[in-house]
Amino acid sequence: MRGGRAGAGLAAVPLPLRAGASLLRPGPLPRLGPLLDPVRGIWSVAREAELPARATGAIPGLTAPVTVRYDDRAVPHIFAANELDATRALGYVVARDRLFQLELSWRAGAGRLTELLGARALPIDQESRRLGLPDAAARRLAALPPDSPERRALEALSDGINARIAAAGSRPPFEYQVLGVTPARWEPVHSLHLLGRMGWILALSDLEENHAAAARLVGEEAADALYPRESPIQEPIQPNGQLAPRYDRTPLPPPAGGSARAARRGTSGWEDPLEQDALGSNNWAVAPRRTAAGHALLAGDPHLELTLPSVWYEAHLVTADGLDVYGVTLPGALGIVIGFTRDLAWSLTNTEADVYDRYAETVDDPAQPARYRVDGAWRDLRLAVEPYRDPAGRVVHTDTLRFSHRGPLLQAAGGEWESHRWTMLETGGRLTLFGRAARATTAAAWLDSMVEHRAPAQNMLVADRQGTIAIRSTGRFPLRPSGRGDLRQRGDSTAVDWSGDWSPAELPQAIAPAQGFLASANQQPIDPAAAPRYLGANWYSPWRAIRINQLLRADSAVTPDAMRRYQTDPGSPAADLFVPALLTAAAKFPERDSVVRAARLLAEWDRRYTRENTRAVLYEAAMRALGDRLWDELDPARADGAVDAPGWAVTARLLNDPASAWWDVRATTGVREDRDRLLADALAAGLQAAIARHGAPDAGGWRWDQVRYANIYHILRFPGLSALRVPVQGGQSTLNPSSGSGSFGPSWRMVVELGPDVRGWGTYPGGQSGNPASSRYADRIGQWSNGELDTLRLPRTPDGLGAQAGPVLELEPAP
Amino acid sequence: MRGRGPFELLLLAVLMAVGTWLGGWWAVPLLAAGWQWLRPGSAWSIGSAALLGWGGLLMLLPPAPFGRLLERLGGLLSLPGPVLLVLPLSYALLLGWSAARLTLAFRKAGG
Repeated sequence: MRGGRAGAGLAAVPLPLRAGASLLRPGPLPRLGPLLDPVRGIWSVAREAELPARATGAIPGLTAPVTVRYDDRAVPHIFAANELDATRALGYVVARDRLFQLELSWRAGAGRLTELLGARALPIDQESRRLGLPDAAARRLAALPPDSPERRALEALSDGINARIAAAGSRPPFEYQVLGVTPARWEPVHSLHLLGRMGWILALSDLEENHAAAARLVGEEAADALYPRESPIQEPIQPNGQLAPRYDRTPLPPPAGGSARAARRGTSGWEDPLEQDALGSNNWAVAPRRTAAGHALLAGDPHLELTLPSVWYEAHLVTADGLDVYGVTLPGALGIVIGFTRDLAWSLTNTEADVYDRYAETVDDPAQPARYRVDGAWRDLRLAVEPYRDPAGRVVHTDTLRFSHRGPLLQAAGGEWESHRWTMLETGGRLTLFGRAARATTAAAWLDSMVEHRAPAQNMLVADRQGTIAIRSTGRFPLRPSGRGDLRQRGDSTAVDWSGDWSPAELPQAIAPAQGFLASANQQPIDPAAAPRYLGANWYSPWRAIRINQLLRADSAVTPDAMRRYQTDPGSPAADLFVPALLTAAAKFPERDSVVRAARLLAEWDRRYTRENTRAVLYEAAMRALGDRLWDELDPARADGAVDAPGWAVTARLLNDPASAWWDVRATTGVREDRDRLLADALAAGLQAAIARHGAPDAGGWRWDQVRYANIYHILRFPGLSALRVPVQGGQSTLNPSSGSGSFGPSWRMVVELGPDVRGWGTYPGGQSGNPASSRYADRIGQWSNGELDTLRLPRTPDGLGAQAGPVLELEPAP
Repeated sequence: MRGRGPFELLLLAVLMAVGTWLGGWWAVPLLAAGWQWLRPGSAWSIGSAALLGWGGLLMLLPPAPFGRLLERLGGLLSLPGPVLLVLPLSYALLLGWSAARLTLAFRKAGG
């Protein structure tokens, strides 16, 4: 879903980018005495960088001592009497390694960054509060009975984090010292703020806005086709019996003349048309009959913003009452989010379904609305006056937030007031699902344990030791009376409100499919031929899904190492489709030297985004030029709104219609371009652009690793603490897509083999510690860059690590 | 102005280090002022003792993490990491010196 993707891409970036970028502006100097003090100041973080061989700690509420044994990768293996004690210990060790990240994350979700960073963070805080994220978190916590498992787990996590904050005492992490602030006490609601922010990253969308702006420019019918509810290339998550993707080859309706103005989100930042296919997550699983060893295999590859420290934290939880789970958690969240047990393994990708709707409301006073009209009567808006404070407690700004029965009421660009309804803002779902599911022993039981998960909706893939592989797109998918969610509704009647949700049986899913493998890569989950009901629109082009399925169909003896290699496979189904089209078109213009030269260079490319290739640069420049020319009807110069460039799957559909009006460039009056002419023009323009930007084709500047790389920024964007220009293999629409900014990508890679003894491999770009003086701050980046994985240790006892054993932390109940 | 012998300097440096360890950075100006009041002499030598004291404390830090920290902070300021050592050392020097100078001025003003 293009809208959801906009949410994903933009949302992940702003926190460090905006806050960090503004932090780099000159500001007040920190107080030098405390900062430079060699005992308590900035240097003291060196003293906290590595765990001593034996350390102790105390946590209130522990029912029994907990042993935490670190391994040689700095992963804590937590051995506790019960799950709540394990949660307390997890809070403690996460806070030891990631305390500032914890604080930044909850404050971003709570709209309280200004209290840490000052007024420069106000725009981020306003965004969170106006969307209703902190309001929803507070309501969700209030709805939890005091003795509910969720509340007790949140409190246990808080106990652990706060115990570590107390233990850190006068030596808080580096960032606190630079900012001259001290850590705030962790409250149970902070975990909910953090999850709200993650939902914002994964499930926010602007489908209605985008569709409306496009319709003003090219008409409703064309807008429907450019941002379709059904992907023009069908390679769904729920297998549909096809052995290859199904392409929609019908003509696109032509653009209708429009008088309104809008701006295509074009060639800057990640919204570059090529960026559409540069983001996303993958997971896949293979049944035993298609693996070399006869055991089920599962690969997880969630893509998120790349930061130092990483968005993930690796841990192993073992309890005396049967929990034994390894994987990654989001610092500040409950349980292991992606991982494996001794019986099964699972991973997630974002479903990209449309779970966010806008309703234009009639209000009593457009300047300061206090009521809105529904079903012929006025209803009071719920108002909340929100002060934003700086680190000194001074109010730097005040907002009045408004809420209708649907959700937050916000003013749209045109001045109209809109209610926003979003599944993330509505209570429901359980917070302890991952912990409960980790006790399941079969894939089916695991999926059933997770069925109450509501938001953000995820494609949950699981494989078990019995050889079953299964997937379900799990979450709350609303039913709309209109049958569509990509069009803004008038809010004057409750008849337009959501009328229910998809039932679990209706969710896209598959268990033990005949094809012997399953894969998801954010594509449309279910073939509309099987389920014509609206689930979303403007879906991701399914290039990555096509590539995974190509690889898995071609390999009937998959090994764990092959699964690892696939994660950085350089093949690009998009290039496989568009390169021949460009070359065929170019061959029709032998009289144009620039076209002939560009075609000769492009033909030298094997369409693989290897680090050393020197032709992907030309392909991408040509595709960018193609996008600019093809979608000129959505011209950025006609600015009055914003429109995403249509997905490349739509362009693929258009290739079948060489005389379509869309190929014509409006600016070239007197000439009517057709498909081949436009493709040849784009190729020639791409060559010109590539030379202008990167020099002559064989002068060294076109090498892919000189052009595209990962930029893993410190969460406050301090350059010295970031890892920049990290070479990666992959590009547009590959399994390891890389965005132009380089700040988005595979955030955790995992392969699990479910044999008699479960084996796991994994890594993420960064390290376990957020302390820049630690050897574990960025120690995995080289390995991640090379597509390599570590062997993950799964000891049954604290002494089970053998030669891989590291420091031990003994946690006792606090007196 | 009276000079200070190496033993006095060393003693003062140790006091500065212990004072900072126990009480924080404020120990430097307080000790500098107190010492100068009791044993008036070169303010620079008191500053030097503060520098030595803080230098000793920095040497107590675990070398590998400290080296990584210097390197990364150096990257932050586009400077070679070891150059950053100048910051705490010169701060201690100036802090001790300025407190001693001020104390001397007070002593003179007070007759």
